[in-house]
Amino acid sequence: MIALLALQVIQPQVDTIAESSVTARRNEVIVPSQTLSGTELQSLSTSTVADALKYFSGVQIKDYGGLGGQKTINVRSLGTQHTGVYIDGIRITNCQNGTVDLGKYSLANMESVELYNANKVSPQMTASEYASAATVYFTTSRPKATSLRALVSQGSFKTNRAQLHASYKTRFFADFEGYHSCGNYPFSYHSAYEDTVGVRKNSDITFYRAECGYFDDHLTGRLYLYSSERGLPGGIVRRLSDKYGDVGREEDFNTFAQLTYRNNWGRHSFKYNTRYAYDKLHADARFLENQFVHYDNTYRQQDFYNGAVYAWTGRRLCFSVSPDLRLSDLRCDVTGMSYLWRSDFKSVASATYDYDGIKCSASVLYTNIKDHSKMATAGRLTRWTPSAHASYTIKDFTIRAFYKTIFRAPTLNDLYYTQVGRRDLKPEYTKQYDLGVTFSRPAVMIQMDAYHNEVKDKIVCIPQGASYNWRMMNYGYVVTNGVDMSARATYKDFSLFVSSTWQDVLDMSDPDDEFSWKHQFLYSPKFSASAILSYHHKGWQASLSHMYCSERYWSYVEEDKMPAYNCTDAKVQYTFKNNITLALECNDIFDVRYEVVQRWPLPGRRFALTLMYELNNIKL
Amino acid sequence: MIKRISLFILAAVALCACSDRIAGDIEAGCPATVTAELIVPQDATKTVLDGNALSWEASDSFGLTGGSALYKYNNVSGNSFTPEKPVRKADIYATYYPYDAILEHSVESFTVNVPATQGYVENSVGSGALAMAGTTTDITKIGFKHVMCVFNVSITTLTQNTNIRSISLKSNKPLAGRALVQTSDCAISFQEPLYEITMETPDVPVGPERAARFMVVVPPDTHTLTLTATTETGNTLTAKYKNLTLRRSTIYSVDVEKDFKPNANDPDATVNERVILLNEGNWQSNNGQVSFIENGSITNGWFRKMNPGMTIGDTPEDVLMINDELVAISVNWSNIIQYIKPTGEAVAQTEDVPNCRAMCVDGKGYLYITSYAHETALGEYYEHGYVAKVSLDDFKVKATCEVGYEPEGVAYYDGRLYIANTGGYSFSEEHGYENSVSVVDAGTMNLIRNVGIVDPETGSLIINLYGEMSQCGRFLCINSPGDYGSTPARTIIFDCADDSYTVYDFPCTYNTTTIDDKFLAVGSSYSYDTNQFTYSLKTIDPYEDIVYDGYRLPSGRFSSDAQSTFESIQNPYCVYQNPYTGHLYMCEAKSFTSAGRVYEFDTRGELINTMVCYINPGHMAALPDRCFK
Repeated sequence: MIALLALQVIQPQVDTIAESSVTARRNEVIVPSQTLSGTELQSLSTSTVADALKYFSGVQIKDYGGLGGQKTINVRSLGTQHTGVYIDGIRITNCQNGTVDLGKYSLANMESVELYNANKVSPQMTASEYASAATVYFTTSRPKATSLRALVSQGSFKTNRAQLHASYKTRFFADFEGYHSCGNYPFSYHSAYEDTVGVRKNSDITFYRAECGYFDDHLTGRLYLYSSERGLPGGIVRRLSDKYGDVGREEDFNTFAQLTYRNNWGRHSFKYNTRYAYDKLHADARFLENQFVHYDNTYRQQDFYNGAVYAWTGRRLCFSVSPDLRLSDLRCDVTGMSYLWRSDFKSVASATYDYDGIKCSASVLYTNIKDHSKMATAGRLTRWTPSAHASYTIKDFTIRAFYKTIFRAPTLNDLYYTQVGRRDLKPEYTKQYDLGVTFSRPAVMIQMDAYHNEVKDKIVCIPQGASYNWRMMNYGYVVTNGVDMSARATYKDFSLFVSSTWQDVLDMSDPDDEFSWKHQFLYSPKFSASAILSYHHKGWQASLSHMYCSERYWSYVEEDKMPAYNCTDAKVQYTFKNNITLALECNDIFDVRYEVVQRWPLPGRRFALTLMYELNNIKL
Repeated sequence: MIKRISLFILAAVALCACSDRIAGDIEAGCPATVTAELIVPQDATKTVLDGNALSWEASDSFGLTGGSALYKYNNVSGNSFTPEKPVRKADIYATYYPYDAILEHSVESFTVNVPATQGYVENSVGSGALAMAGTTTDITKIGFKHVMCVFNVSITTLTQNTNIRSISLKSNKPLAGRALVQTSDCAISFQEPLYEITMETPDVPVGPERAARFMVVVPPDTHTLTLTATTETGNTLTAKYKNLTLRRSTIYSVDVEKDFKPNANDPDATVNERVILLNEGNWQSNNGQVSFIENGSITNGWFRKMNPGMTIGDTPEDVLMINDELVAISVNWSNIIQYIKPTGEAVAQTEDVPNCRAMCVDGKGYLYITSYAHETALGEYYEHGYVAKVSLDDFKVKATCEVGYEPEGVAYYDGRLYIANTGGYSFSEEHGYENSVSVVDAGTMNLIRNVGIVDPETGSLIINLYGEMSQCGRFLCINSPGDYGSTPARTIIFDCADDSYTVYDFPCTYNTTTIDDKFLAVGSSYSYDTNQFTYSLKTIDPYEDIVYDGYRLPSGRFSSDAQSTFESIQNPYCVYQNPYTGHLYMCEAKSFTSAGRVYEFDTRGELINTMVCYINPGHMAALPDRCFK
């Protein structure tokens, strides 16, 4: 287990192409990365991948509260849409708005959650893996033996969960989950200006998930279905009664099927990824008590992805090329929007040199995006973007540096959404510089990185000119200087993970506005830190995690600050006779009830009790 | 609020014939044979003088004087009458109507009995109608050419109680006579044609509850009239009427609802700048803020300071002074109409108008407010948006009227409400843009009509009547931002008197009524050709139909400070002129997440103060000094 948790220095050569096996997983030190995996991950008192990611340094999770609320990740203050999210190596996309709601991905089947700043450096990377400023990989647990597992869980605010998991040898698994929560948690606001207490309304969620996976030495495949129905609660604002509400409901149906084939012949290796996804979102606000906008729209997206990578691995040198094509479409019934499809062709060439502790890597990515529709479309977007990494390892220390420039293309909403979209948007560019050091031994690892990044031409929605015309626009320039630190240590049955971030995120959009110019960017804490202490002994598993976040501004007015907060979670579980597990967890033990987004209260203290029954090593 | 003045005009009765020319020969002292045909202007009743017979198409009593003689008649046969005595040649001839209303008369003047209540029959001549007369020194111009219409003014103030000392009427066409009607008597005297007539009056009380009535006899013609009433303290009220066609046989009743503008010598004049400013904050952030500006210094968070434990709520959308004691604030996303005292203390709230938007008052104890919502406090469920009538006695909704989709601006004029419909707020709802102004009877709250707005030149619809709407007398300044695409932004000057309108090809995203009865409009329009926004700052004179580039001061000069400030502003968000002092405010929203700025210009148009307010400063209302006495 320790081997699983500890980080290892990269081997000079990748000798295992089928590296997805659990024990062979390793973090690379040429690029800053953080991992939570195995028991440490499963012992966390969290349910979604977003809750696990929040412990990483440099990460902020934007959380609109509630149990079904949207959760998105922001790495090093680059912005949500600059983080690529990958499930089993293939990117999850949303051509409509570019954001991935991490709240929809359960931790239940995850083997590991990894974060790489810039991108991972490995010869087995497809072009799209280079195309984001930060990358998050979720890896599904591979079946270990033929087994059957059933789980029921009950938690605060009428939260119920049931899961059934079956696996066959190391080849196949199937998993089903149902979840429901009323989400009617209490909240309160007390200040000199108000005394508000209430219970969150319309924050319920029900979802069903079914998935299965196939694994062998060369081929892995995955089928995924997710269906949910949830309330869309608004921000808590002054109201005289509950007579009227801004009620909206959302129904999601997400499905994808993906397949990865890998093989290697001597120095040659090859990987092919394909994925088809269909996502349907129905947002409805036609309710009597809703006296605001009565929308009722359905958005259907398809995404068909094909990517291949060929790599030649020499003794010191390694080359890879990868062409990658993604076809996405969007069909919706928004007035004034026609059927749209986008072709997104990417291609990357990269080279790595590795000798005597020195490792250098350079890549250049070509992107070619074109939209097609009856409507007028934006011009073809073609760009070349480079990145370069270098590291030098001497004994337990590695010094590293990287530079990367990458952009995010305007999404279909950005470009074409009725009234709001603008076809002449430029891509939003990021530039990153990083200098770091890692100290790594089997039982202890410490890494620290100083970074500087810039985001320019941010794509935002603001009123244009002297008009009421809220439209997308390239506006804003944000410069971040920061230091990330994370450390991991294991001692006997304990493991400890700590991380902290200090960052100066400066809004440099408008030199004429003395209040925002070089002011800490909104919702960016100057300092945040977290720690996870896990314990694993025989049938016992426990974790205590804590997170601190300094004050954040939610506007550029001095008084508009959200206070610093501390949040502590804990989970204890015990497995009887190898097949019955009882787990008790408590989130936000001290009932801090902080907010991530102003006026969107989080649930505060909540409990969950889980009972799991497992049949292992079934002989069929 | 003063910008929400209301005026209205009713068509009514009266007499008269009109003559352009009489040819004939009348001998003095002996029966004359007069044969004449009065060539009358368009729309006039044709009157014929043939010998002793004067005939006209309308059948009613009629009198004619020559010298000191009164050619009395009251028996009319058909459309003609024969005087008892032959018509003599005299120095001055006068005609009048109706004969039985005359109490006394001489050649120069006569006194008539004015009925206590005036029965109006639209476009008809009937007995009981008001007396009218005409005069001439030339028998060949006898008749009703000079005086044939009564301009009947009823003045009500919105908040003040005062006395009117004099009233004057100015026209671009000759005015032949004057009249003062106060109680039941009417004195009319005739003079040479004048362009301006002034009547000194004893103190005529006027207030929100008490109307002062004046009548001025004017010749039928198309006049551009300026009516000015002056109080004992020298405060003035001005109402203008552009290209008003006053027809013969018509009484124009004009209701003027407006506060007097203070005069520098007036002890009651407002000398302190006091303006309430609404900062909208950010949607769903509950950070609306009310600021109070007093003589160049600003207090942000004023509402919550004055009301510990309370915040204004989410997205305050409109602010309106109801009277000296009460101010209303519509808080859109909180579904609240918040009532406060001018000193800031909360008085009451109305919750029953969800998704509330813009407001106006009628000065009669009711507030009207538009709503994008579909459900009303009275249980109706509407497909479109509506306007609600709220009693200021108990702050409850009394009636509602369905209008167009997403109704925005609302104004009160002459007993009617004028509502600008948007239809563009929710493009995800299955309806298109509106292009109409709804006219609603404020008394019954029934829809009278929807006036479709169409570009007279191209015939294309003027859509999406969104945003600020200002009122100046009977005119409204309405913004049409178009569809932010191929349909460009437009400014509509809507005339509530006759539902006519003028369309200008520039935007008025933010607009205000100026102290000299003009509109100041700022905005930007997006051009597909250049992919750029064109900014504009215009002063519109709705009476003269003149548009000036820049901010035109009452003196006729232009404010270069206002121009340069406007050009330097990143995101203008509000423009407002204090109607009591003439100071102009321009607000800037900066990046919409940081503190906005307020720029204050004095009456000379010079920038005198720059203040830091809160996020998204969007709406203002000034308070006069008398609120603080």
